[in-house]
Amino acid sequence: MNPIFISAGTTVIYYSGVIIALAVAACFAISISLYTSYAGNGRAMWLLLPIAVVLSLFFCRLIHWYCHAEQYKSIFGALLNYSGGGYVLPGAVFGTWLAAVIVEKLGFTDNAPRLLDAVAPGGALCVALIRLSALFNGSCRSKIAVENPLLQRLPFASQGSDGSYRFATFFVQFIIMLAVFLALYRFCCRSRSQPMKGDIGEDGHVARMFLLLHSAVELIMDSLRNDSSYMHFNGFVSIVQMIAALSILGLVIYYSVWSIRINGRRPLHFICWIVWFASLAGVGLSEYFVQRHGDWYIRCYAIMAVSLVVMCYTVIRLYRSCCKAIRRE
Amino acid sequence: MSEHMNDYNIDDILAEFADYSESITSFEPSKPRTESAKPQSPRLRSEPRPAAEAARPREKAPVPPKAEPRREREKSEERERNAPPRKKAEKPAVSRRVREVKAPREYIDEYLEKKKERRRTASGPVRTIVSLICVPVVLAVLLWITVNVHPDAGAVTASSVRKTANLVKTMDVFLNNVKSEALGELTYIRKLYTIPEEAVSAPRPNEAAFGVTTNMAEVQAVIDDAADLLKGQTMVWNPNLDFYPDNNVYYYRDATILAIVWREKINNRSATVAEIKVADGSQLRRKLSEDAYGSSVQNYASALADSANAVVAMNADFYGFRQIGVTVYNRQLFRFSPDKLDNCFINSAGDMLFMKAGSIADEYQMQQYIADNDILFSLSFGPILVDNGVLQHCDSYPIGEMNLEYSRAGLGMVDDLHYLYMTVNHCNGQNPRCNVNEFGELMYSKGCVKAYNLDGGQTSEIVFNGRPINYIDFNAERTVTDIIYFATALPESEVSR
Repeated sequence: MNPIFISAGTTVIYYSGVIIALAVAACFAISISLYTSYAGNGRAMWLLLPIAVVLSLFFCRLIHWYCHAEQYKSIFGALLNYSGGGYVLPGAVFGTWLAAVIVEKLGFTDNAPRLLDAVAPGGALCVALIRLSALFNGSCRSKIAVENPLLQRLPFASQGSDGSYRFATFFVQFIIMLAVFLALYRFCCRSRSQPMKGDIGEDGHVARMFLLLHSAVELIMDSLRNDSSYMHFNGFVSIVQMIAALSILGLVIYYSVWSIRINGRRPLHFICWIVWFASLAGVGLSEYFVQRHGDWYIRCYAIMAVSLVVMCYTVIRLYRSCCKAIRRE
Repeated sequence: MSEHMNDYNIDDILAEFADYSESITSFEPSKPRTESAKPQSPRLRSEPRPAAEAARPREKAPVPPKAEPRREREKSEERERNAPPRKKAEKPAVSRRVREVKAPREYIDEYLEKKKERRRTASGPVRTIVSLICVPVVLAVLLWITVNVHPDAGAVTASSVRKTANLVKTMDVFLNNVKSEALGELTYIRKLYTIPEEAVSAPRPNEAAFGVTTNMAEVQAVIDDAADLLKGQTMVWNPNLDFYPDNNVYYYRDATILAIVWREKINNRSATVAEIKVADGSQLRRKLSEDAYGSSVQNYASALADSANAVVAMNADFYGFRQIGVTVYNRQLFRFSPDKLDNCFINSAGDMLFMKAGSIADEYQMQQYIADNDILFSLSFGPILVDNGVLQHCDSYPIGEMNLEYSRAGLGMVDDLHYLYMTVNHCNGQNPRCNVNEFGELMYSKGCVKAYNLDGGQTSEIVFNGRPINYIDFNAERTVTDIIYFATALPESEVSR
């Protein structure tokens, strides 16, 4: 079930492909406008796009090949033939970061974190639209079957290829990432006039907030899917969830180190760490129980959502401890 | 003019000119304006003033010296005119720029600054060329994404049935059914029905043929009605088994399949047993999620069974969970990693063929084996529990927690086209489960001449008419990648007859 947009000879263009291309174009437009308004070199953004797309597709496909090698004839077939197969989205985050580093090394910019800050809001919008495209290719697969006729419509449920109604995981993720985009856009504008304490740089925080929020959303949304990609040694924890959890852990460590360097060790840090680990435990236990007891999904996902919100707040609190207080007019 | 010239001292004029030229040489041309030198609004300032600097009050601009009164000015001019001639001012060593002595670090900083400046202020042609290259590249990338990137457009290795021209069997079935129709009033010739290999799902079972009862006599009557199908084979089920109290017995019977499912205590274990007798080997089938090998989608066994129109279904080997074993599906070899696991192959006649781990090392030999034995699909979990009527014992096995008390599932064969599914689970947490060897003994005690261990734990499940029958761990199904199931071969048109 993948509706065709245009079919000409052997070339077939699907609606999902069109939407994904529009998503990338929207990300580029927003990124270049943010970057050049911040006295950035527009050429850096023009160069970043093709490199980021190539590297993102490469890493997304590489991770998918690792988890689903049986879908491909070989690794070369997986990496060179993009007419079929799947992608794992965290590879795009790494690919974009690597592309920014390459653009910096080529001399088109002298501040890669600032480049990534400009890309972050657009990236959230791009993810949102990519998830929306799933409505067109029928890949919005959820574990939760919706049998109440009142709920068998968007944004609660969508009909699968087998005729059953399932929770509209990707549509809900589209809405959430849209909200993340708006929040990041506002944060990007405000962070320009936000002085930081000590030696911590002023750039890169928007990109880190994107990583934080995107990882939190992926942690819960990937659990709702029935086509997750699992590690070889463990068929219970998906690779997307692992990457997301490690990303958030990395941000906690980063801001903790800087906060301690700037402010010295304070009770706030210990409180944040305890709360963060408690939230992580809440997420892990919710995931464990929802895998074992599929009919407990409402309470498990509610606990998981609350735990993720607390985790994000903890990281943001540590970030705020590195900011100078300013009076905004 | 010459008279006026005599009034001025040439040396004074030259001295004045030398003074004036000194003032010129100390002047440095201003740097060209660049984009980064644009005056920026305070909000866009990249480097906000440090707080200390912001707190310090601004210093007052120096007050210019007061202008001298006119009379004093004239006096000073006259004094200068009468002053003795000055020595010629020495010309500065550098004509335009003042050469200052700088520290080495300053030279480096200046060099880096100029390098940055050059980058920022690339000449117009370079900028145009880069733009001409970047814009079409970006557009080409967007076009390429539009054409090529469409995630989840289907598993790459969607398996298609490798059709074999089994004309002999097809002709036999056809002729038999023709004879049955023609001689129907003179003699009874049982019709033969098969399920085509390429069929994604089986014919829908007759809902009226499903039944559930606690009355053993009713079950016995169903078995007696299926005597034609059983052809003298003895059923494993009998009314004297140690059933669970208030235990329901589920059954389904039509011309091509007899299935009975019950729960009983065997050696204090809670066992759910499904006994199935089919008319044709094509009625034992395997269903993969999305009917494609390698699909990342996992579904509940009950959902898979329902979509396949299964009468009774069971979890299979959950091939998507691991990367070892041999996976054959629709006569095609998809995975060949035979070193560690025992394998079970099902051929078109419905027979179970076993292969010990590592007995075939070559993929070509495996392909040959599949072709020679008419293999339809495989199961790759193990170990082999019973082989040719002999109970097997296994000391160690790489998967399945074989020495732990665990929920177990297995497929056995009692007789020709006569099968047994069995699971051993907790029953409200009160009964012990078993390890692999104990499970083999249970299968052997039921009369299996062949038995094979399948994936246990929460995966172990027997589904009858679309719903789980056994007590599943944690009281909830787990999503899996595949099931095996028995289906009716009776076409829906024959059901209405």
